[in-house]
Amino acid sequence: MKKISLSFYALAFLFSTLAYAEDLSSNSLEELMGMESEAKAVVGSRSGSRDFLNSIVPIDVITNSQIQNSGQKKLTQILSYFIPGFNSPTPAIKDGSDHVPASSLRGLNPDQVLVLINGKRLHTSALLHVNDTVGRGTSGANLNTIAVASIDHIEILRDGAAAQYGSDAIAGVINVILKNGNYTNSVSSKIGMNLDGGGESAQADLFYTVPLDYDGYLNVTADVQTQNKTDRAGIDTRDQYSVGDTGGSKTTPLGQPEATNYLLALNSKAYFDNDVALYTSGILNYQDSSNNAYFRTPKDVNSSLYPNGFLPNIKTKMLDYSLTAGFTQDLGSGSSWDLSQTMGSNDFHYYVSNSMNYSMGTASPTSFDAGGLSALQAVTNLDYKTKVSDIKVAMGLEYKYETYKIEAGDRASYAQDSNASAGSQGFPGFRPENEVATSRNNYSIYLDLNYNITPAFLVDGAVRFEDYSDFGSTTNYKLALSYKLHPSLLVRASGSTGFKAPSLGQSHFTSNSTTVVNGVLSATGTLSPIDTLAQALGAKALKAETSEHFTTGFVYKPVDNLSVSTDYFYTKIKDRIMLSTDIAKSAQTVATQALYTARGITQARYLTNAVNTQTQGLDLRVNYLYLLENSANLSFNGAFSYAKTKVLSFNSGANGLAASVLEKNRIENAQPKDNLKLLFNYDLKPINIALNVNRYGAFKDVYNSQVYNFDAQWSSDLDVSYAFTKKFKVALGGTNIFNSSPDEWPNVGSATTGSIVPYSQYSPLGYSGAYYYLRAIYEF
Amino acid sequence: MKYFLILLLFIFPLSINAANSENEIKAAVLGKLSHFVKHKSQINNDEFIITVFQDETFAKLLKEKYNNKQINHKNVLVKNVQAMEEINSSDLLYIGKVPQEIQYQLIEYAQSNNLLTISEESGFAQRGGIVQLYFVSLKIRFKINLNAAKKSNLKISSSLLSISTIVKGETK
Repeated sequence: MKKISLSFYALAFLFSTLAYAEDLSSNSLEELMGMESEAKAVVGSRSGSRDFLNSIVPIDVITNSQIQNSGQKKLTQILSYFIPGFNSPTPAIKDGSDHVPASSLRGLNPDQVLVLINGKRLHTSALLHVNDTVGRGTSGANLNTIAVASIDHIEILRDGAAAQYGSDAIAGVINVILKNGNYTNSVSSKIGMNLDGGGESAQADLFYTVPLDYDGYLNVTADVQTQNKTDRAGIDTRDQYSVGDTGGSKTTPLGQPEATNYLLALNSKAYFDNDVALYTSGILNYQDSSNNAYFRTPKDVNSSLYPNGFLPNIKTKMLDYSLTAGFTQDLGSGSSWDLSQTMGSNDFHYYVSNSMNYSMGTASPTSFDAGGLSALQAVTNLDYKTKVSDIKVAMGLEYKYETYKIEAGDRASYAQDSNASAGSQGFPGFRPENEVATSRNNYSIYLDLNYNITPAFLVDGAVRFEDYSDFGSTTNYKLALSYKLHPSLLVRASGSTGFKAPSLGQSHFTSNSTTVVNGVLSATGTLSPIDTLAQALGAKALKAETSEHFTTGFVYKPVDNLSVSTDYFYTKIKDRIMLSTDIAKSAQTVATQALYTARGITQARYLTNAVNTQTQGLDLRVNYLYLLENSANLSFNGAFSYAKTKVLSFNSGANGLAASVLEKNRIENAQPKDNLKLLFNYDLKPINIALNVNRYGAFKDVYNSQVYNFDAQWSSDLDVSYAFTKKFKVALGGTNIFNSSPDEWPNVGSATTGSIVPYSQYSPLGYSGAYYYLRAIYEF
Repeated sequence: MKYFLILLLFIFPLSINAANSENEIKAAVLGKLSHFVKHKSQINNDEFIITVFQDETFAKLLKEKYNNKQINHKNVLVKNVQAMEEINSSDLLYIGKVPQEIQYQLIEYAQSNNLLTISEESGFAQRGGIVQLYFVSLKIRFKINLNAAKKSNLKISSSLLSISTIVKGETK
């Protein structure tokens, strides 16, 4: 009976939509001005923008009004809010990863997503994730360096696109389009806090546009954000002062870091005679962020410097910028050229306070400069588009220059002055022998052809050749087809090859870190793959990850207000780069052990082309919109993503990884396979209500080679705004408003996992709980 | 959950609109804008003629949308032309993507022939076009060059001006 009822309602719903279909000529001008047009995207094809029904490859677009109504002020939060399969956990006590969390698409790695700003490549972070987090062994682009108030819309291509954009476009491409000159000036502010305490945050931004001749513009956005720590730690069961004295209290806060961010964004376009335009865009982010390491118990410290133990504080200061300038000219008849230069840099520096260097005893300072990392990327692009007969042709050249640098900390941050542990506790500084300044360059050339064989049948083909100075050359191809079976039904398919160049960080990062394994501190050295010790353990110079992609699906838009799309995808990746397992000194030969000793480490690890995987899944999108009386409307966007990654094989040089339950789990099960989003927006002028119901699928985590299941989690976000005037709006809202918590670890017998750290660090929703806020925006 | 969704789908009185393409909204707007613009000198066409310069896709859509429709109590005729000489007598000239030099020539031609010019190209209103369409947050908006309208002997109603951005043309 229930099935019959549901079928009946479904049919009634479908027919109701068909019955109400109308043409726009009956609408008044004001009603037409209140309507949102179908969003279009330029990413995925160099032949111009396409809307939902005409997109040859699967694309999501997050519009400006959606961004505003969501109430979110960080780009990773916005992508998590709207895009199923975008995963952005917030780990803690993971050194640098606390401050620049890894985020990913479709369960793949953070560096397998290409990020563009206005179509230009954004550099990746200098930070290499080396702890037990999603994205271990990778460096992704830091999305939160882009001020949200500067964004017009965001395009997400859910397809491989290395043949069009080069390295990294494996899981997809995120193209952030900055506002043009048609927006009004605005100031906005947001304050909030977590229900369970902590997390107090304040944010304010200003968007200011200066009109230039012929609709040119100069936009500047400034954004300031502060947030306090959250603490969701469990009790510390370790011996505190002496054996058997377990204390039983909280010693180590666990949660989001305390951070202050200053962001600037620039976007401009100036038009000149002969259809020439000069454009610039840029972002700047300075972040000052701190979080703690594990509490060092008095028993472990055993020093009069800290008779009651101490909680090391790791502070990071990050300066990130990207600036693009270019000229473009429209030559008419579909022809244009574009010459641009992009320069991007990320500088990430560590400071440790309330700590000590055990090996220095009471002579140890308590604050340290632990050194830093920096990465720079300069890209020169020349693109040309034209039309040859009915074929749209795009071609171009790219030159990219990258540098990577590690700077040592002060001597006390790494020194070993006695047989006790070396370096600043919490985060030992980079040593002089870690210092590196390296660079590489690459050239590429591409050709992209787009041809309507018939008005309904579109073909897009692309080929791109790349030559890197370090690992060699690669050529990638893409063929995409779409066919309109009916004006309301499009079927599409694409196949492509791709690659991800090893980052300079992956090839040259080295460090020493202090971790807690089963309650015991141990010194681990992360080695370059070309380090003598790494090579003795089986490492080889890194080569590119290569990939093959296939996507097929359909888009159905039976009436103007309803659209449905479904796409199946398959991605096979060869030679995925991973951080090896920690290889113990004790298991090595005497000669190799000497190499460990020389580096002051007991465990070693290095990056290696370790594993071959396949990922396949399904994306479903349903968009529906009702127009109510008085220009009010209710929109519904349903989005579902399923992606399952399977290890096909480990390469022979993958030292220890094949046998590692932890590492295999990280690839296959650490990220939810499925994610559902049900977004409702009820625009009842002057009230707007945005509700987002999320379901994050189950995932698995590992402790001591034992796999543990963590159930799926539901959460809801709500934003209710009231426009007092056309220019002034106030909103109350919250994320995870029902304070849903992820599953906790069972008792695994660890002093940290399941004790100080009750939650898995893979939890896609984090574990800080409900966050409520008040925000206001004024346009002028 | 499923009952909650069904409830949401049916709880509101339905009337449908939205998620139309930019071109569909532009096409509907062209007809509406014509109601707000009056020619000071009478145009003696039996039909309301919309001439589209070069944008074949948009012209095709207009023909489809205005088939058997009327604007200002006249049947609508949509023409698609590739050269200025083909424009002749029109009530509305929509200019697609053309080089600046051609845009200037078309604006000059339209002013001397009292045509309402509309385009979506950047800088169109400042260069002497009368109505420039543009989209902000996917919603259509207008820029109007009042001086250009006067030169073309057109009077634009205050209600349209109140919802548009007024642009000063270049002094050339």
